[in-house]
Amino acid sequence: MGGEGWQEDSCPPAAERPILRGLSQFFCRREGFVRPNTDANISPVPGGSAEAATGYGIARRVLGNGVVVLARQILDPDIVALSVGARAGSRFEQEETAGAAKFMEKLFLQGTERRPSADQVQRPIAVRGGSLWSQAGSELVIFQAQVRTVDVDVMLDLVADVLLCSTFAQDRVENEARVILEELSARRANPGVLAGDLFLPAVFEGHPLARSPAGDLDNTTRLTRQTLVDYRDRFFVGRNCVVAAAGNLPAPDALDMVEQALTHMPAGQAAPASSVPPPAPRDQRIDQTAGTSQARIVIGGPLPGLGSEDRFPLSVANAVLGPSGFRLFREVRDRRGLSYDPAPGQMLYPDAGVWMAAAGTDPSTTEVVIDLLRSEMRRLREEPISEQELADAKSFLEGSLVVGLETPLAQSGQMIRDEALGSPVLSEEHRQGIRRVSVDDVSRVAQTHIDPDRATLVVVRP
Amino acid sequence: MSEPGARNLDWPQDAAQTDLPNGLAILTRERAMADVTAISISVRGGSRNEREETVGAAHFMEHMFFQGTPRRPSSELVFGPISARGGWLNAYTSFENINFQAVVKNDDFDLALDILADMLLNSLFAQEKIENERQVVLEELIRGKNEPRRYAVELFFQTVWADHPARNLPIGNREAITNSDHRVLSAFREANFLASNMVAAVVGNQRHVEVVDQLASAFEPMPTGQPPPFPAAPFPTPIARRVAENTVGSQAQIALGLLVPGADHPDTYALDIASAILGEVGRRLVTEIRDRRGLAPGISSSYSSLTDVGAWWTLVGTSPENVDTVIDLVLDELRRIREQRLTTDELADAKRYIEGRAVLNLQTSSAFAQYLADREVLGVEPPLQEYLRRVSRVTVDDVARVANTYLDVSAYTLVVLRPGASA
Repeated sequence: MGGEGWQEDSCPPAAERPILRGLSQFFCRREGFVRPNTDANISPVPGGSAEAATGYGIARRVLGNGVVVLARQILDPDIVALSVGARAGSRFEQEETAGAAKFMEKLFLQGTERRPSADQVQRPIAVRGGSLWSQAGSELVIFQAQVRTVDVDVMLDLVADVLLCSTFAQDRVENEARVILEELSARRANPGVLAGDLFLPAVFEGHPLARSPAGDLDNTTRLTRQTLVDYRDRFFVGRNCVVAAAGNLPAPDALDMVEQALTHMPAGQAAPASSVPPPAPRDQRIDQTAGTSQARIVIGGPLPGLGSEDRFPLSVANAVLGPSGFRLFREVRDRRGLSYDPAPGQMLYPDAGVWMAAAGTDPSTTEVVIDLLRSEMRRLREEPISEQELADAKSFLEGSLVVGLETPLAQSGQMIRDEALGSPVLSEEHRQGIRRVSVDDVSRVAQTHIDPDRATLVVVRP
Repeated sequence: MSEPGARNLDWPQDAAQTDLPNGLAILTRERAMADVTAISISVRGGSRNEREETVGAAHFMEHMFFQGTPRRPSSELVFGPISARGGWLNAYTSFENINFQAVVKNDDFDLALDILADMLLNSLFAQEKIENERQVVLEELIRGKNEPRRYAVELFFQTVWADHPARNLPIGNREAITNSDHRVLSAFREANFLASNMVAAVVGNQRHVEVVDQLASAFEPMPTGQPPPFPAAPFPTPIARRVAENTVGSQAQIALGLLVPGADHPDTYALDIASAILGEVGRRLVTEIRDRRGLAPGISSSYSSLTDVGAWWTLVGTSPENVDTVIDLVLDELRRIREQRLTTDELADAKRYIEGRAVLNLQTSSAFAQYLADREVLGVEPPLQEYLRRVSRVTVDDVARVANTYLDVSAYTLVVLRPGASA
């Protein structure tokens, strides 16, 4: 059940498939946080597990070619998940390579020397009930796979083949350009997705994070095979990659297996550090027409990145607005019935981040909901939160460490983000950082960073 | 085939089961190494039980269970304690059942059970909360209509099941939601929310005996009685149906599919194989439409089954000029699976896929608890091992026969949403 608000509609295949078969994708669940499908560290969806809280049990090895490999054993379920992250996201694109990260995500799965078609790439894992997919983010291009433990060799062989031996054949480049254009068209047709696609570049205007990882409408058909191969050879190299295995394998065995699989990856050079200060907040409103029946609203602004100590009180502030039963749900949905899915969210990258609040509402109540979202942000700045709210927000964040990352897949994803973005969530430092937050800290960071009167507002309505 | 509610104790069980004197069935699956416990409580009854003029009331009523009890008079007091421990509380309403779920750290099981039991037993359905929640439900309705892909599939189900009570979508429609007052919501609750019409499943690091004791105590006051049957519904005659509407944006949506049997039919296992061949493992549709021609970013296809009726369907978003090509490609693949027998390798791959999928998709406590509760409350699907055994017995001939019987290219349902001015 993905979160809603606004997000990609291309969630990992496992999330779309019925347990055996079924209809559950159509029903009517109470919604939770904005959980955009992204490579950022999203608050509050930290990860870990019960043991993680007291000792993370993550083994780490740096291979000779620079690949950082992480492994964590999880005894139940009997599954192994693998996540690979390359610091090759859209923020590393230039004018002439705009859209390359999205293209990478597609082309790596379109054929290798041993497996010359997409079908031959997907089939070994599909017939085992597992899955393999990729995702382009702003910072990272991510590959993820999961299989039953008994099939772990097949998964590693396949992932290594994809990473090291994809051919990027010319006919595949042409085909995938068409696919990307159709995907962009689908994003524009979904008002919730469109709102997010308008919001982030507007907040980050002038910053490398302004470049959308969803692909580039104009440049996609101009990208040549050679440009794409060059981008691949620059960024998909050992010193720029992180791999995490989580599941029912002893961690030393998992490290050995990944090492063996990726030992031939060229070392190359790491991408430059992400260290561009966040842009100043802007008071701007973007209105766009889309959809047939509902208005989608996103409001927000820039934040400091993961390097800032303010990330801890900001996480708590977001949690106070947070899940069902907390402020935004209470005020917008449960007291006034104005929206089905009001949700706060934060996305944090190494050098910059974003806060936001999103909601859908009847077009006739658009301005009322905007005012309510703004007033909740103002309240966070002007009134101290209660001690009870502080305690609830902290225990929510701590409990999410267990419930939010229950699966090996979610844990391996968090492990690569922690390694690649820095300031790990799965760490004692993070735990202590959250515990130290005071009521005054929350007021201070809200006053410093969350200004609803100097914010980017996007409204997408019929 | 078993009768609804009947249980065959010879099947290998995937959960421990105890039935309480009031009829509540409790299933548990102990996961000693898991960090998370899920409680899933499924009530038989959903949109197919509803009358035309109040369709959507079951779902609206489900919302009211979160709106306050005497001990927890507001929604924030229902949700707050679980949110404050990092867990979540949710529910969904389907065609044939309603499922409530709490997912928490193992240590928070007592709290989650206390809240779920309080909701199910003591929810107030206060008048002013009904009026507020009606607005929330209407917001949920327009949110679904606003997403073209979702809307296309909703139209598809309404159309393919037009001659069956399953034509009632759980979300309902604006007029019916507006019509549903306290009396309508309470009537659905009183008829269906009976211990004898419910299954509770608990998956996590919990002991069966202790779970049974706690649930027996918590649900002892639950009313019981004779569960209402689903309205009689003969399997409809498949006929060709076409729906064309406009949408906004620059992409067309195509939902194409067929009326097929539901989970109570012996052919359901061969249909699982056929669907996997067209979709996830045979990858026939994605190969032709996406990988060879770049006509769409992804192809969704699925076999969706209710107890006594089902649908196989595919959903493709593509540029308007490609609509006819995509439809032809889908129909070609339907013809191919009718006319050409699967190879034994293809069959073996599909079976292996279905087995692996079960493990991967049931990996979380919440997925397993939901699966157990919904399966048992509907009473037509066997436990997991038996389900997989039946899939493993499907032959190439079975798939050919089932494809020829049900995947009839002259009787398909087609919904097309095209970009146009008057959406």
